[in-house]
Amino acid sequence: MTVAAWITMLLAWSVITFFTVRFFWLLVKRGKSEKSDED
Amino acid sequence: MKTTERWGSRVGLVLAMTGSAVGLGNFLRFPAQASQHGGGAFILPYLVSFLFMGIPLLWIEWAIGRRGGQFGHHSAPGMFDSMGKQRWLKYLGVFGIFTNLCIAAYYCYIESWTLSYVWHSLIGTFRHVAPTDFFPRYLGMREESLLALPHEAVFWFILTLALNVWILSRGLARGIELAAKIGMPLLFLFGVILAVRGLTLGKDAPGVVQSPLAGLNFLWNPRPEGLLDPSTWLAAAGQIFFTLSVGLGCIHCYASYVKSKQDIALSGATAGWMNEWVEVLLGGSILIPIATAYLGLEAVQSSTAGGSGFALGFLALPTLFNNWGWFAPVAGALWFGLLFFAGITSSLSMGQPIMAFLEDEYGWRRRSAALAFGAATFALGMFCVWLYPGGAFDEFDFWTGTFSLVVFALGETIIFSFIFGIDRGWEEITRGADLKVPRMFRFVIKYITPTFILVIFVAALIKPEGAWGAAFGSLVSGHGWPLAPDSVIGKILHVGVDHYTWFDENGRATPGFVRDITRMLLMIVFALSGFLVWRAWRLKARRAA
Repeated sequence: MTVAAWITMLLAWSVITFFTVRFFWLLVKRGKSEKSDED
Repeated sequence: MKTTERWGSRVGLVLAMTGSAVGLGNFLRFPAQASQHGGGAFILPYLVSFLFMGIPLLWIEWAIGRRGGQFGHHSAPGMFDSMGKQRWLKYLGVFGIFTNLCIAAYYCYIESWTLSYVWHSLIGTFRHVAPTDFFPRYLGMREESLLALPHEAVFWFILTLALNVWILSRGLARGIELAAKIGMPLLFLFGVILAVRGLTLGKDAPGVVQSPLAGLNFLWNPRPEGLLDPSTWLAAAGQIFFTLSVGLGCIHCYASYVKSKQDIALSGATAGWMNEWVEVLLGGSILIPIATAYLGLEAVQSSTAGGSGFALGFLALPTLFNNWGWFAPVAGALWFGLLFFAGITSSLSMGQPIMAFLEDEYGWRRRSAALAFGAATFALGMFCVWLYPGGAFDEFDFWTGTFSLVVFALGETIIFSFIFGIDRGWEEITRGADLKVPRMFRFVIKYITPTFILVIFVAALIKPEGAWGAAFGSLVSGHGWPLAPDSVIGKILHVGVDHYTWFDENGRATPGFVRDITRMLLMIVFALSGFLVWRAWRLKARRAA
């Protein structure tokens, strides 16, 4: 694989993984606090 | 009968939404599109389209859906009707019935192929029979008559449909949400196993002709000239559009079961990004690297040249897995199992809006509505099964799975921003939000997103044969616009068909006949969907009087 291909791939993977994990984590956290609010 | 159903949990809702978006296209279409249009350069227009068209459209649909649910509407006609005083608004919602029904019909058929391939992988069929021989026979393409019925395909289609109807009849939390909670983690797991196995294939492994990393390089090596080509931008925007399940009416429906003050901004963004993760990280790391390792880059380039990975996925991969010894049947089951879970979580989301329409507007019970969806999908799907060799399937895919989505999305963005009003729309999106939505998205939603969709719409209408630059050159030099056969106008005018006739000299039906009766059928289904909407509102008016 060329260096350009590695950089493009890792950059795209990092951006997508960052937002996916960040939002999913926020969602799980909010879901838990909503549940405890309801309880 | 007014429904009081709700999602069991927010994670369940987001998994169901992600399941709706993650489909076969994530694994078969994305890698082929990316490699065809600029390799690594494709990702830039792809992410730009995601941010300025995909995410805003998701928020628009979630907002319309949650608002519709407050008025007791869980399908598009009622939701649009409640957005303004104009009586015609509800008829845009007809698309939300028509497209879901018609797409479900052929989508369940593809889904049934994956189920059948799981079975045939496990019993070792592909050790003895080449998929290039098996698949055309399975589809009935080896029959002399276009009208012959492929029995095995029918069996798997009925089984798949029955499974869909059964899950739908169990309800939102016990059916769809449970299926997503089981299906999505398995899909991730299967995808990761296949990607790791594929990417770690050594050069000295049996049958390997090239490193799988050559496939990744083909997919990711940036070709900057692609950024200057309008077709790259159109392909990227088109891929974002079709991968997110927008313009269908199913996001609206799922969101309508969310409480009025519950967040939609974070949930919508999470579902969208999760779909991207599956598409880019998993979808890009399985098909092309494995196929490159065993077939070589040239063969992969030629089989993805049309922008689809179907040939590689269904014809090449089952044979290539045979190089994996005892793991071959498992790998086949994992690959087609992954496609099956991607498919079923999407087809369930197409069934729910139709059932919701029958329940809300006609007072049907859930089980009756599920059976009605099954019966209608069966009738339309059998048409695709029966006339697949003549091109009925492609007609369904083009008019309902491509064209109608763009028309519906264009209509809804205009209604949302200009009839409902961006002020009220913005308030809908941000109410209860667990995510601070940047204010610039107000402008994006009002102007950029509709422009994006309008460009896709016009490009679909007049798509040229060859490059866009050459087509404009041809127009300017007085040689006219070279319409592509797969443009909307080209399809209507039968561009590229030499001898357009319904029957050949032996009196047998031709593909032209099949295409035309398929279009007539689709028009009848659209008219019937419109009639059902008209009748539902007429009955309501009578009851109110």
